[in-house]
Amino acid sequence: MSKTMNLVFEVGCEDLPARFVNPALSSLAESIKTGLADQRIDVKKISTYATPRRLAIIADISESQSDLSEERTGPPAKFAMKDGEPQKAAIGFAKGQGVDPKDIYIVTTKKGDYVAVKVEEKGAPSADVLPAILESALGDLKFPKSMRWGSLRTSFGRPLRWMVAVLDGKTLPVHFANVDSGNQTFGHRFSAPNAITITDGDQYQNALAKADVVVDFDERKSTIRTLVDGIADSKNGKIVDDIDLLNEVSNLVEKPHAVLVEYAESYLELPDEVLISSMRKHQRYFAIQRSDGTLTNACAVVYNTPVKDPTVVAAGNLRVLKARLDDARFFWDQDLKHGGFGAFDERLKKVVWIRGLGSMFDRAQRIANLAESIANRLELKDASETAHKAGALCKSDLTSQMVVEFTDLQGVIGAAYATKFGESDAVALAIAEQYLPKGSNDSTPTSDAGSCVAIAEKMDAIFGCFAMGIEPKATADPYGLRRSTIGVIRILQDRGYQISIRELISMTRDNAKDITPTNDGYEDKIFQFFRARLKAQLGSNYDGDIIEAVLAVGMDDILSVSDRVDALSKFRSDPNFEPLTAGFKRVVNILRKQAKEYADEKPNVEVSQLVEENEKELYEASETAEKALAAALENRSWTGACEALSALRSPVDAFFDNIMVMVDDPDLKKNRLAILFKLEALFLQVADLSIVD
Amino acid sequence: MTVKNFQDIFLTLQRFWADHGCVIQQPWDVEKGAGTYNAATFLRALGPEPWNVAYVEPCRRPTDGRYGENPNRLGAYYQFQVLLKPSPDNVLELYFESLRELGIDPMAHDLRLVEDDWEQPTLGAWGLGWEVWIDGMEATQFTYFQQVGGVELDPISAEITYGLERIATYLQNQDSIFDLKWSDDISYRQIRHQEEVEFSTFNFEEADTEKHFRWFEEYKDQAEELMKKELVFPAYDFIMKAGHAFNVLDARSAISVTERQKYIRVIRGLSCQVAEAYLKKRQTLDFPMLQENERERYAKYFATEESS
Repeated sequence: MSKTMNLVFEVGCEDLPARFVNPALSSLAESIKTGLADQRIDVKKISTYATPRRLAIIADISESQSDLSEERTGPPAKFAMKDGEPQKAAIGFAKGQGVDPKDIYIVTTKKGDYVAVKVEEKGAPSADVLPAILESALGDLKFPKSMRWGSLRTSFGRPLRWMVAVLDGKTLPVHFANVDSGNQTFGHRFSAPNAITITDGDQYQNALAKADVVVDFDERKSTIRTLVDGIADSKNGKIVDDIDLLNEVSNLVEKPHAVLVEYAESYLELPDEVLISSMRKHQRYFAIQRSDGTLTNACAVVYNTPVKDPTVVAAGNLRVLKARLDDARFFWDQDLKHGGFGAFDERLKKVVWIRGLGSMFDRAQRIANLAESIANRLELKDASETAHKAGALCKSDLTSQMVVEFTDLQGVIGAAYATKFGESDAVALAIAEQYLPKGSNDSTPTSDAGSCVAIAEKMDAIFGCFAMGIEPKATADPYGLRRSTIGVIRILQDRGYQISIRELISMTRDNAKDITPTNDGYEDKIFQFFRARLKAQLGSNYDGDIIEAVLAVGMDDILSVSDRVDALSKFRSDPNFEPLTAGFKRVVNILRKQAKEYADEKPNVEVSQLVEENEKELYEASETAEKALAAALENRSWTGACEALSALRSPVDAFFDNIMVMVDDPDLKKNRLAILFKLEALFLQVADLSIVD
Repeated sequence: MTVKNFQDIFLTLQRFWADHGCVIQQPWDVEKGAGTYNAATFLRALGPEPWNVAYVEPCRRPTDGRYGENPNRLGAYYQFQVLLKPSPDNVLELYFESLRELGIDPMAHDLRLVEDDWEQPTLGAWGLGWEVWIDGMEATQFTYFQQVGGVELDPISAEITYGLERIATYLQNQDSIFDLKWSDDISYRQIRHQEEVEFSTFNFEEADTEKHFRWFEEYKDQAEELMKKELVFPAYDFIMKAGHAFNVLDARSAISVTERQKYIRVIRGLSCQVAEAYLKKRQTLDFPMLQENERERYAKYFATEESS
């Protein structure tokens, strides 16, 4: 490798949104690395830094491109050469590569003879090539949202205001938008606004640290963690864990500072979620809780400027928080004045959900009845009354002032008001749990009543939408039906509820007498939608063909699907698996041809008619396997079931090696087919292995 | 000057932005929800002509009325609006300089730019920018307009919208807007409280919904007729009037959720039409405020329909 040179490249912008910063930095780095590689410049070391106001790449790179010496092949010789002389096609090719046609030679490949040239190029100094690489990396940078500014035609995440491009102390001429690169960066906007000259990469981090800018994200993040933990500690509490908030705040500041803000204890009468939402969502404050998990009336505020007097910052932030909490309390008081859900429900009757599916009030009534039916069907006797009550009230909070203001707290607010209005804790909990699970990482309801309401809430939406022909598209799922469907599956799995999807669908249909479906075949569409979601859910951990093999024999017993897939996946590494699968495929192939003849009734094995040793053996083995399978299934042991089938491997192999099934003797043939039918039935209790690749 | 009371703020900002090349215009005399609706912003942001303007704008948001009982929420309030077109490279420095003029020392407070994507569906407008926080308080909305009236902008304007009451409560260290000193002798309450109570009563209880529904239709019809006659500014007035009738109906809870979307679509449609009409009219007037040496850069605006 040639001598290395040190590159410092920094792009200064007006404040990038926090969520843009890290992805922009990594894609800028990637694109520069690719550009360097394409231009045959070696990278020895590369570091990347970013704050909301800058993206920086510091790299040790080779001082010049490596020399190029490459053979390039052109058109086939039989067309391009004649009597050893290059013809039009060959000459054109050589010129295109910048090579004299007299230097053309022939290479022999597997496909025949081709015209070739040797392209030689002396590596240019990196300094000559870099500007174009850096400019195109900036041009290629994608942001979640881009903007234009001034009278420029360039797009970027936010307006670009300066660039540092220095190679071994010398400024590289880079131009982007209306900015020419230089060797000067700027520190903190207010505390260190003067230009700082950058001569090399080693100095970069320190020079900016002195100017109140911590260029490393992880360093800012760990500093914030230390600062806010310290503040929580001073109140004998701890920070309410919130990694998303920590990551966001780390990219909202160039250098973090933190201060304690305490608000009046009287606000603690508001639900914790309201307090946390007020602090977090709008203000990005870190809430502080006691060791028992209850909230304190304090929070940690992270700020950016090394102000003269932090108490001024604290006082200002407190005033803002107080105004927000006053607003929340105003809504809280207004809502509670109603003394019950009656007034909310009157308004709910006027809220149209989806045309054809009645009002939100109608929906709540359907959810109540369905939740109760599900509880009864699952014999959750203690839950059925609670589920009905909670279902009937589950949408009431949508018309409360509080939810209009704090939309993401729907359910939570309903639960808080239910308690205030004298409903039981169980009803309140079920109301709060109706939207669970909210995402793939969210937990499912903790109570039976909550689970029944959550299932009913989702099934009613899924059914209603499909019945009205509102089916999710690949890119559009405005009513979140995918999430709802996965939610139902996960609740059934987590709670161990034994109920088939088809039964749930028909219960939902029977319950929704007020809905007139406009869509044909919606029940089957819903079923297929569930099947696809289940497959997708399992697909992240298991092979697709195994999942298909299991789903092929049905998903009525939804709880067993994942267990069966898991057992079968483990079984796949067993030496018996491949031969057994092959044997089963033979069974299926033979039987498929007989399907018509035995469509009405499958033959039974006549034990007395068994002639050959290998057929007797297979029959006995199938008898043993049948018992073992039954015992395993009794215990819902799918591993046991696979073991039972595994034992059939040698008898099946021996049978197919030595026995002819399609013999002329009709009785003998029928009896041998009967053994195969028996085998097929055994396998299909677990999966259809003929689908496995 | 020392900024002591409410009126000092807009007096100071006017002086500051006039010194930096802005035309000081005045409020547009039709009810509206934000300074953006003033034709000096909404229409002038369109097309190639440079334009720097600043003005105070009284804004009405009927649903935000609280009968003068909430210290921080009002059914009507004031914005100070600046539009710089095209946005200059030092626009943020200018803005922070204006805060210094108001007596807000950036080394005494935590000033931050927090992502805020601005969108006004009824205007067919959106832009990217920030909320400016002073110690956690949203003091200003700062937006680079990307689209207005459904039209992609070129050049891009920077819109700076100061929340005057918020800045004042901050400077005067008051918890309630009503306790602000408007002038040395007169409080905000003395000037505005009765108005807040009466308008809340009107907007929430007394507004005649039948009449407002009818007016909405009539204003809309009038706007459409005027647009046919290429009377852009009068048409725009009636679009704003229709918008305000809708806002009152909304406050009266007279519009259901689904209808609400429908009304927004109608107003948006009108806004997009008037934006196009404005551009067309300015073209026939040969974009009189555009410098001769800029004409080539913005040649696309001169293309006739046949050639484009």
